Amino acid sequence: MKFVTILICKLLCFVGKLIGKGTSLPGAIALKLQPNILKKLRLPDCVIAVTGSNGKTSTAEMIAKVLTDAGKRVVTNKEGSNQIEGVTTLLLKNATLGGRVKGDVILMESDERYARHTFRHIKPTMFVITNLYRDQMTRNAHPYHIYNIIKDAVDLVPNATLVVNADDPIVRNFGTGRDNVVYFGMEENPMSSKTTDAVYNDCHYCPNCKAPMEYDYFHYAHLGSYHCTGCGYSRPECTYRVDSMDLDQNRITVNGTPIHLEFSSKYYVYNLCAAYAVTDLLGLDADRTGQVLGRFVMQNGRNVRFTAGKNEGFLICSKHENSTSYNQSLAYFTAQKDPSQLVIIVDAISRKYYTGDISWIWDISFEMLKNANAQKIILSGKFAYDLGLRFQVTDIDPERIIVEPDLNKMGELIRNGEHRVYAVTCFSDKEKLFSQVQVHSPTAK
Amino acid sequence: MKTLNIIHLFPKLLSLYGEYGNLAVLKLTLEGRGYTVTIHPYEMGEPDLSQADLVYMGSGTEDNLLEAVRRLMPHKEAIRESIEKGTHWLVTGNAPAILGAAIEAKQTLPALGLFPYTTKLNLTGRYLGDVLAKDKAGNTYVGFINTANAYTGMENPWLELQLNPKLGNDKASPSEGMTHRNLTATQLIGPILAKNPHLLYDLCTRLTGEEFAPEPQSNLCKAYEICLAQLQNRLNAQS
Repeated sequence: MKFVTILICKLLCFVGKLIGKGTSLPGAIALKLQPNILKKLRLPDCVIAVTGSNGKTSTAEMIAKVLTDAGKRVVTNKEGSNQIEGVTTLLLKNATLGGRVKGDVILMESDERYARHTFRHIKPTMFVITNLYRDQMTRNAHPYHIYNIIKDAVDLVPNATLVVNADDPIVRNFGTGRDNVVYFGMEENPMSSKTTDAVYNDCHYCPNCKAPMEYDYFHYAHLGSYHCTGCGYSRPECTYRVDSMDLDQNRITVNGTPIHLEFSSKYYVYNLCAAYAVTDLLGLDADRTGQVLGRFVMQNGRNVRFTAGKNEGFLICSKHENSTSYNQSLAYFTAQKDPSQLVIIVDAISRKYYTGDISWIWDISFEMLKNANAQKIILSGKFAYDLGLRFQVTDIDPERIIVEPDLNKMGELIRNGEHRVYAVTCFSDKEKLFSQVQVHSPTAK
Repeated sequence: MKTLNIIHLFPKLLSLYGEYGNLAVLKLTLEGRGYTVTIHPYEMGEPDLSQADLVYMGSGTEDNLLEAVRRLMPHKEAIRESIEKGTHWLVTGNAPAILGAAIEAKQTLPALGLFPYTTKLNLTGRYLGDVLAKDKAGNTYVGFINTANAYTGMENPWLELQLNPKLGNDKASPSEGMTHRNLTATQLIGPILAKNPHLLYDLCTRLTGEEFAPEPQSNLCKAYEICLAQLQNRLNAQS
């Protein structure tokens, strides 16, 4: 039966490739045919899973890059199909008909809600948890709800080494009471601040005892160095540390290893640090890892150069329904020195259907744009007026704001504008921007 | 011009879905007409409700909801007095559970007991979906419900759900929220005043005694019209 299931899955993958169809269907059918097929596979000794609200894809891509450079054969779901069906497709596609997965390492980007299902069949030896933010609340409810779901997955793999973001008080809790935990984080640096950049802090109170938390410093959102005034819950010492960071010069050091940044964002630095931790734990050479990570360019098309009329442009892809993602994109934008036009597009929050939940728009710290070098801020898409109202309660000069829901007219505005264009939108809406501009190859700036 | 005092109960503990936006647009609207608006945040200790024109409370995580009950329990008589004397209260998201008789989670815990309904928390799943609803006067509301709460015995409903009718208070019927004197409690999350112009302007009118009317060319009204049309399309497609 195993042989037949694997064969059918491979055939479906082949047909899917011919017609350009999805990565989940072959796995879904294989699971119907043989629900325990994943347990029948012989896996390599190293199985890595990566989950969290943000940074899963980038972190997994970085790990894969370093491992591949070191000559390892990596089986990874680079298409980003990260639920159990996608993982099943991945493994069966890369298995012999006898059920041996061909590769040195399996690297799975795991959807935070589905890891607990996947781990019933596949036990990772290393489990990376990047962060927990408010993300797709219409699906995920809130970060603590997702914490409880991931905790089920963590409890299913007591022998796995957890690689956990120490700076996130929610995520750090996965390490409580567990020995095989490795923490990574970012030390205080000139960009740290005494207050959060967000309009809310999900860890204002201790996740465990509800006493007020105190922060020595923030990096962004609820990430930083913290301790509870009640029970003493605090940021642990990190095995892997971003011990210096200079975003103007595009460089950091992790445990003393210098790494060049292709994309200057704190968000991105956390992903690099997680990838460094994993590859170091696997015994790879740190200097070589630093060099490979320094050349890393995201392949997922989330940062894209384009031309609008005579103006150069740069898309900083964010995630709708994820205010932290937007805040990091806006922080990147505010660090740019050149006079510019900023366009923010929110047209379809869900790719499947219209939803009217705009609470996440109110969670974005648009206030940080007050002193940014944006001559004009253009708000576009179906939710342009919602964005417009949100901007009305900031103290940004209303003369700088243009509310233009029509995407074609938005295109005219940025093509006819006088300055470089920065665009912030979700990958689900980016094609609507691309239809108005000339796109260059996906790359970092 | 008159100064209006707004008490925001738990802007940090219960702030899950951009709730501060309700008070931000309320302040913007009232100040646009010359009123002075002071928002008093409350997190712990004794809340001073005596001078309040409006008390507002929004959504939190399930743990934080129970923490809010613990913090308010010593002050429940002051809260009862505030509600009964006719102070305006707006309670959104899952916060109505705080005012009820009990909250059933892993164990049943007493809530403030100001109303007889009880709340059962769904600890594994969520009730969520878009809202298109009407009040008794025929006004149409848009919004979103995202909660673990199911209520038993909640009376005097505020809205009747049209889209997703099983997201009502008891998760079986379309009756949504409740009203009592000048208190409005609803499951709708987040900045509902930034979604529903008639609700915002009606509240402004009731708070000031002065007529406030929606401005059709405002971002608020245009956003509402788009959302209303989209949700109406979904409702029509379903029926």
